[in-house]
Amino acid sequence: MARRVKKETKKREKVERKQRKEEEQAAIEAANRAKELEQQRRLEKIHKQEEEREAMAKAVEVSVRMRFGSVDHRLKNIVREESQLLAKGKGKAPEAIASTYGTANESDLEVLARWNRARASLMMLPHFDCHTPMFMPVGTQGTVKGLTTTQLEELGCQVILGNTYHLENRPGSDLIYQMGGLHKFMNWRRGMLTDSGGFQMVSLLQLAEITEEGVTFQSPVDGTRMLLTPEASIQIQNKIGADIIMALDDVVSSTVTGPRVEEAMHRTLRWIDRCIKGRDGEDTFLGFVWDLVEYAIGGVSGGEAKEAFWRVVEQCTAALPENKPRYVMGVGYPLDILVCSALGADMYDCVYPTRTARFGTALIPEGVLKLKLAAMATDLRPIDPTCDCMFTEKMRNSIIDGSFPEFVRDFLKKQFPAGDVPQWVCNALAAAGIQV
Amino acid sequence: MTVLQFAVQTTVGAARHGLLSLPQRGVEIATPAVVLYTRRGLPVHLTADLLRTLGPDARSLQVNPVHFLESPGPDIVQVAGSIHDLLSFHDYALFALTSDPLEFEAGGTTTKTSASFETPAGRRSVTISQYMEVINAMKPDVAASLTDEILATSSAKRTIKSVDRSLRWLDSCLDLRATGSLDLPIFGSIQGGGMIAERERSACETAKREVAGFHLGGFGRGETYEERSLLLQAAINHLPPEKPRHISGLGVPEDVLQGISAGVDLFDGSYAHRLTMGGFAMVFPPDEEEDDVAFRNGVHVALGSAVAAQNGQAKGNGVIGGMANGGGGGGRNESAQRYAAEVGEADADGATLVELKSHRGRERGRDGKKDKVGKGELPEEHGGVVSGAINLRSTAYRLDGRPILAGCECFSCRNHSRAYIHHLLNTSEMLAQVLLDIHNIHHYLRFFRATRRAISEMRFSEYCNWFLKRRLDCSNGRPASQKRFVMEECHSRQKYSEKASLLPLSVGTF
Repeated sequence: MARRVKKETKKREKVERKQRKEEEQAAIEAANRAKELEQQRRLEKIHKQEEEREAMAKAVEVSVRMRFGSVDHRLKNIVREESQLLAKGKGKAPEAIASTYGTANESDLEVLARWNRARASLMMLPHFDCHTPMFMPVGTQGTVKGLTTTQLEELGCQVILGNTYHLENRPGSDLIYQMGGLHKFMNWRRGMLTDSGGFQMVSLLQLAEITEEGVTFQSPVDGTRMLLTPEASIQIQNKIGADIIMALDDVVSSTVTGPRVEEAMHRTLRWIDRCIKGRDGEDTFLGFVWDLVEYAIGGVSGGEAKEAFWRVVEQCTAALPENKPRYVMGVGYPLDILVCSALGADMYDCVYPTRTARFGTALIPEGVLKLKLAAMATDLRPIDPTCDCMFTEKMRNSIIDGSFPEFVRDFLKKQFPAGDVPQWVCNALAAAGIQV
Repeated sequence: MTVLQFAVQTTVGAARHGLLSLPQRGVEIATPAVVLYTRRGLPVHLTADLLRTLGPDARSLQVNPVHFLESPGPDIVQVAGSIHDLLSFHDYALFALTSDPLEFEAGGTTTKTSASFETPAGRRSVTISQYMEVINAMKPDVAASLTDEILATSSAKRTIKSVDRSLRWLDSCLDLRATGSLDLPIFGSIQGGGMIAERERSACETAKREVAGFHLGGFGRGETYEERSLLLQAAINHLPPEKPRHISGLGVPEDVLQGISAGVDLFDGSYAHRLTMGGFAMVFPPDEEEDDVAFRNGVHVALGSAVAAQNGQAKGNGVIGGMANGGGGGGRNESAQRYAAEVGEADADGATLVELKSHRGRERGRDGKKDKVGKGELPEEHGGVVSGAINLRSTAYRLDGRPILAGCECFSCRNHSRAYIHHLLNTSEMLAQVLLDIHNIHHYLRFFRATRRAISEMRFSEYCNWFLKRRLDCSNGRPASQKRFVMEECHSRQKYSEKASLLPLSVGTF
């Protein structure tokens, strides 16, 4: 009897197990189906968004004098991959690199000469025809510190930067608009680029609060709060009236690693969509930044980070169309400019030369000269006896006359007389077809 | 071999127009002239290329020897060769003069053997041998002897001591120069405070020495306008006419005219620097001829601004504050209104003069700061206009698209607006001082050029009358030199001792 009961119980259990298994299977399948559906829906949504965006871009293209490029999905993927890679990796000191394209109409960037990937081009902006590769000094508040506009022109400066957040704070974009735009306000006849205000999320992080809507900054001057949304950034920049304007990006502080980097990348993409909707480009020339990489550049010695840095630049320039300018933001060390130019980038900006000058340091072919040192007190030589033109101008000429590799080797020989050229530089230049 | 040639070309009364030549530098300075102010040998805000754009009148600089006591010290200057080599100012006339009206503080610890100076590296006592060591290393074109600076209000005993010391130090300077390899022209320093007899004694004794010219010290330190005329006369009457005379402490245009009238040839340039530091720009009428040009341009702009104000673009700020009528409207003549239009005061038809509340007054009130002078004595500045200088820090210029001064040919006025300079000042950008300095020095040089022309055309007294009257017009019916007004901004970066505020305000008046 007991045995029979036991047997029946066993049988029941077996059936129950079978049923449970089947149920589980069904649940899993249902979940999978739901997931697939979800994914499909999401994909559809993304496609729809992209279609909308492209449609809008096309619509605007007709009415706006300057045309925009459309989103390059390949680039987006690269950006995404790189960003995830970096987020998982050691991720030191991130800095933003934006690869700009769509700044000008196809016909407005003319590649004059090439050496392998490096190129010298002519970029036509409403106010000035620029020769690239070029370095753009930073004039945060409508002035490059201490220099008159005539002095800037004499230095061969083609484009200067204005800082949207700082200009909105003081004197305010409305005032600039009333005074006829920043060009007229500061009497600058050449090219101008305004950043989006995104970098202030790093430089003024203590005073910034970042949400999906935008960034709320507390003014370092009087403590008032200002909400900078992607739309507002574009509106402000339109009032300032620069030749090239930028979309608001979510820039991550140098100490942040992990998911925040990824979040910033996705948010940047979302914000770019809002910027496109927010622009009013009827009478203002709008250059446009499309994609942006949150990118880790280590300190000076961060060999690994530098390795990643050149790889991102390399992949971006490979993916970008030939007829668009490529802008590497915030890059200013001569060595970095050299490497990026070898890889095909065109435009650079950095406060480095302006700031280092105010700290008493001069850039020379051999590196830097710290003029505050006691040894300099009685040194009667000029800062650089060979100085007659700008670094980027020399580089541009070498690309045009085909002596670019010699220029690179000469530069490295002076910067690293002991031959200890960092590995990342060698790797990057090898990718650019230059053997060091 | 340093050669200093001086020739008087025209005299009108005691006032004279001459030519000071330094053939080894290729520099010819037409006098009356201003010797531009520097710190450590450098015009504070101007790079060498900008200095050159100011033209041939901006070729004489004051280099202060006490700035070369340390960092850089005389040893470093020696290595460079000379102060010209160190600064790369080979074609500039460099005058080594210790007097600095912006740094002078009474009550330093001057002793029998050493004078006390405020230097960039703090307060220093300088002995005569230290002083000549620096001078010998610098090899300037001209050096003034070490001197014991006092106030005009110092006691008789202290004044006599100052004259004695200065003469003794001059002798030492000349002796030490003899031992050096330099044949350096030395300007003998004349002291005497507020005592006419001592001024005469100091001048007589100094004139007996082998000096190339004279430095009149201790002016602008407490004497009244009237007293100063007598003191200048007392000293200059005993000076040989063929040698140049330099004065420091007289910078305000009225004071400069007084100095020129008394026969002074060279003036110190700290006034322009002081205005720049305070965010001020000179807009007083520099000369009769150009006044009309300025007037024509000024009216156009004033009309433009009135229209802009009517359009409501400017919301009150666009109506640029000039000086108030202040009840003295009846006394205003046509030129006053012209000038008012020039600096942007009058509305279009000139029927009413716009009066804005004092911005600075309000700001002060908000900051809770007390003015150094009595409230009743405060000039009513409107839109920051004080005695022919406008304060570009004033919010009245936020939207002012006009140049600092219509018709001005300087780089700043040709290229930039008041609103832009206001923005630069507001954001503490270095370019603000660069642009202001260019304008102020250019304008100041223009004023000196006008005085020279007036002398050479034998109409100096007419020019003085015209100028004083116009300045009166543009300072609300009160002579600028009577205004007791301390420029706090100018001194905000410097120590401003209590004693200084008791000083008569030719130091702080403008």
